[in-house]
Amino acid sequence: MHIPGEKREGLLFGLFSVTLALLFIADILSGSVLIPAGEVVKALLSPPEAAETVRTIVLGFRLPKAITALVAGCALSVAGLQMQTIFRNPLAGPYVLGISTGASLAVALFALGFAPVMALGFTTTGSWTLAVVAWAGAFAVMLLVLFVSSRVNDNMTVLILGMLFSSAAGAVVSILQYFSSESMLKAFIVWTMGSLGSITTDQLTVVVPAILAGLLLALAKMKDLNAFLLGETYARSLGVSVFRSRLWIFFSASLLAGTVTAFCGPIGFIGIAVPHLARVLFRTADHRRLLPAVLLLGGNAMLLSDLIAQLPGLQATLPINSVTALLGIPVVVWMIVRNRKFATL
Amino acid sequence: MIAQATPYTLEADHLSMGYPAAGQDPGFVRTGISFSAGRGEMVALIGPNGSGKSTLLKTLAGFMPPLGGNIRWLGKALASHHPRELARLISFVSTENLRIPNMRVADLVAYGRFPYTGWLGRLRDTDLDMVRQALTKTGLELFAHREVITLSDGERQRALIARALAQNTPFILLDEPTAFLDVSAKYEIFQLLRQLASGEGKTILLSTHDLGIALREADKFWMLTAAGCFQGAPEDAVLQGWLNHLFDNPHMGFDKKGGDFFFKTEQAGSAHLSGNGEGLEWTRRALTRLGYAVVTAPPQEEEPGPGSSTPTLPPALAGKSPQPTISVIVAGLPPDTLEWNLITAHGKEKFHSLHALLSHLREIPPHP
Amino acid sequence: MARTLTLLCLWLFTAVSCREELRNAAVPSGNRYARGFTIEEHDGYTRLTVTNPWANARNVTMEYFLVPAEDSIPGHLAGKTVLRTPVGRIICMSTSHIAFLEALGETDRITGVSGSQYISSPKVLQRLKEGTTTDVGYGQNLNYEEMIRQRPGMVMVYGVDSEIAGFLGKFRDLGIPAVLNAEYLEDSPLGKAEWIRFIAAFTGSGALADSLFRSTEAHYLRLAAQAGPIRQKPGVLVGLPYRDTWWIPGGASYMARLIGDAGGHHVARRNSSRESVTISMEEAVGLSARASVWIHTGNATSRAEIAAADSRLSRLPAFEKARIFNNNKRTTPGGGNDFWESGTVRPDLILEDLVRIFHPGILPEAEFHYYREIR
Repeated sequence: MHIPGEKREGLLFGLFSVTLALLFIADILSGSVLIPAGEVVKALLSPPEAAETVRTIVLGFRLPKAITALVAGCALSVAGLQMQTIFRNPLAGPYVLGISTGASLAVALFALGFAPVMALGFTTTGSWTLAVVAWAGAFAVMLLVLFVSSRVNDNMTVLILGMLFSSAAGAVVSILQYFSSESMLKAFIVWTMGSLGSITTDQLTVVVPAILAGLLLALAKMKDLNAFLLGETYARSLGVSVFRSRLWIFFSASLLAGTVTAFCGPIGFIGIAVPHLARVLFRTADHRRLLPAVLLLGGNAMLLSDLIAQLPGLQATLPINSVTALLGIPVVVWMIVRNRKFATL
Repeated sequence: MIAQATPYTLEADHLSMGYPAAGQDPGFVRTGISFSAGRGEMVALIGPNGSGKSTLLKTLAGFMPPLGGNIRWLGKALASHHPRELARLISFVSTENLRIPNMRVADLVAYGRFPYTGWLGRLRDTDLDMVRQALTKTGLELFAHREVITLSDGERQRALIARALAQNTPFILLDEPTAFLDVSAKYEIFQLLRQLASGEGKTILLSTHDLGIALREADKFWMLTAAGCFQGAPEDAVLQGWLNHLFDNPHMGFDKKGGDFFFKTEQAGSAHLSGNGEGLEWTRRALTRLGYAVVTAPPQEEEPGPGSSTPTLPPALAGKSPQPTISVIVAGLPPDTLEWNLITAHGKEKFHSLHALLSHLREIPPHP
Repeated sequence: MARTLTLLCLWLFTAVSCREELRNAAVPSGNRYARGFTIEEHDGYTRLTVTNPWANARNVTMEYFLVPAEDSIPGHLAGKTVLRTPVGRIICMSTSHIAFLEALGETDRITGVSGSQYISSPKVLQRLKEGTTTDVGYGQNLNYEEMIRQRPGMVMVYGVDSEIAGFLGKFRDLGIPAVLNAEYLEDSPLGKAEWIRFIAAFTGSGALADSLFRSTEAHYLRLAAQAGPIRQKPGVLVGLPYRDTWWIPGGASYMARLIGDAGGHHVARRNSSRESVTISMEEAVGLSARASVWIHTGNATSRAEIAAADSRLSRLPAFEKARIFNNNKRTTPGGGNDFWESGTVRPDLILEDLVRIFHPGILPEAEFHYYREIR
């Protein structure tokens, strides 16, 4: 059914806003312990009246998880959109610059007990250490990328270098894994499966502002992203300061992807699939529309994934990474098959 | 706003450009380029492939750093222009084949307003107006809502030019805008650019291989050849023989009369051509293709008389040519009444089509 | 460049010497063998500490203050981790924790376990069947909601590496009292067993724990005294390789101690590692030539299964020559092994098995507790 442009857009935005709210509520209502909806509402609106366990579960566990899912979905999708546009590559995603591998490497060095790193006298103060380590790793890669990108004027080169670094870091991680004991290995692998539920409420007070900052930066650069769609030559001819713009966009993407990876582990496919979904549904190449669209769809997608990962009713849960992959891959495949003008962006 | 410090609005002064060698890449450097262009001029940048046309355009526009020398736009050095400023001064049309899904022609053209809109990129009425005008000038009004991906090469080229028009800059640089277009589209583009130059006073700089059209329509040539750089009117290029430097090929020559290149073939002989009308020039070209050195002479009287003697070949025109081996007389008017009379050592024959004449000539053994 | 190298070397040197530091840590007073915990009685409360509770931890000490339920919490303990004793419901993240509680007769407190398929304790298995105990998952799949619902008095966790800090933070956030156990890091078998005293502090069974531990210790030492003087020590090969790498117990590790105490000679390059070390297949061939006993052959229950795991193993001298024993007599269908569960509490029973294997005849005939012979 073909509805004219603007009306269609309005409808879609409205629809996905509604589904976002619904999924958010559904996410809070479901979990491994069966809590009647009325109790949940009570815990949210007038906490003192609800039973203590209900209060703890809803406010201490489900609410932070839902918020994390929401912002993580937004962050990864926006970062993915930025990468796909800047590199004019439909397979790019938020991790294409090696952000997540950098974080993994930092975590591996730390967790798998690389002695010299231990010798630095890492004392563990609370739950922040691992997150800080991962964040540091992600940022180190970001700095490396920014440095390279300031020296090298060609996007393709930056992309290739990012992927090479990713592979190199991955190789080092493999070596560390090879030499570590069974249980350490398992702990590390568990980290790589991603988790939305292990964030503490005070960690949220850092995660949410960091992601908001990244999103605001992305919004500020929306117009430049549009110019990048035409390629660097045209962008330059339109007066875009390509060098500086690229730096800010990389910074934004790194902040977004790095923060999510640091606190939730690497979560894949959302960042690649959601921008494509947005393009197909909203039928626009204009980032002033795509960015909000991607925000909405990303939040929806991650909340849906979390909902599914909980396997409501069953005792077990699935790792979030597997769910996003299982959801994301068919979406991408369907789009490639259906939309043959997929040659470039 | 155009400053009139010098008569030239764009100057390149002893410019060195290119990129240095890096690893396997030998790099490309060209020095000593001095060109200029004025208001309302359409300048064609001519040169063989690899001579640096694209590089020159990109260097002038500020996309690549110059290696030496000066570039001045409106009298002000390129380096002292802010990128935003430059975007309101120069618009660029590149050779890139843009394939962006979900983009409509109107959106693409609207990109031209980029340097004038705020951070949200909202288009005001003036902006929309410019877009509409640009679409009209390029004949794309009906295409506004078509997706860019569905356009033909020519239409897409026009859309890109419309985008440059919407940018409303005094200078427009185009890198081979007619490269993949069919003949009529080529002419349309040139006509449009011509109109922008003379009608709106824009300075147009385009690189092209379409010499024939450029010779007619361009106000100025900038030539980059192995033998050096030349600038001047197209006719200067012809008359001063610069065009011969375009090809390093001894078998090619430039036909000053016809205004284009041809392959030099083996000398088949000398032809004496006379007659009148339009057919004369084209017969000359055809005979030249066959390898005859053609001398055009005033019409020759046919000798009437009973039992006409074998017609003879006219004598060599004093001091001007060797003894002609054939003589061709063109008579009549196109398209219906043209006829060719051929006089050779073997006798006289009449033909009603140039093709027949040429076929016959091809069977005559060449002049020893 | 030279400066960077020097710094790097200094770094590595410090790292290596730090390892030494860990190894030479003294046994705290109050304990007989265990290095990882301390129990201090104070007026009105008990202070427990756990030191370096994960591999490669340095200068990490966890403090737990136990205050009897009927008393009030002393003011100066504000902000510290306080648990009321005896703790009510307990969630155990490791099977060894279950074993300790079972020995103390406190399995009724266990409402949550992690990895129910690995549990051997019949009492807990029964509770699982009845539903009075539930599996709360592990790692990424930790069922926080279920844990909250149970309102446990404590959760006994263990950290393999510092990522446990993340879980601890979440537990704290949710108001779930978590206590880090580190018995698995002890290299002394009796040191491991002594952790029963640590756990008993939470259930108020200190006296029982002491007496159980003393009798375990006495039995262990008696056995060691019998095996010790025997001059003829059989060479003992341990483990199975995976692909090209063979993990064998380090020279100062738990297994190596047991073997030594049982009068065996662990064939390996001399090393003082407290953890497992790797040897290559080639080295293994050489070592196996000196072995007359081969123990801990993975999951194998027969020589055929060993050969099936890796055909090269059938060519090892030990394959034909040695007597082979595996510690998989008491396993669960889900892949758990009671060797690591109740074996943690009763190292004397393991030692008894080993003495029987290494020196058949010096002990009266009886069934193995944890081992079976592989034919």
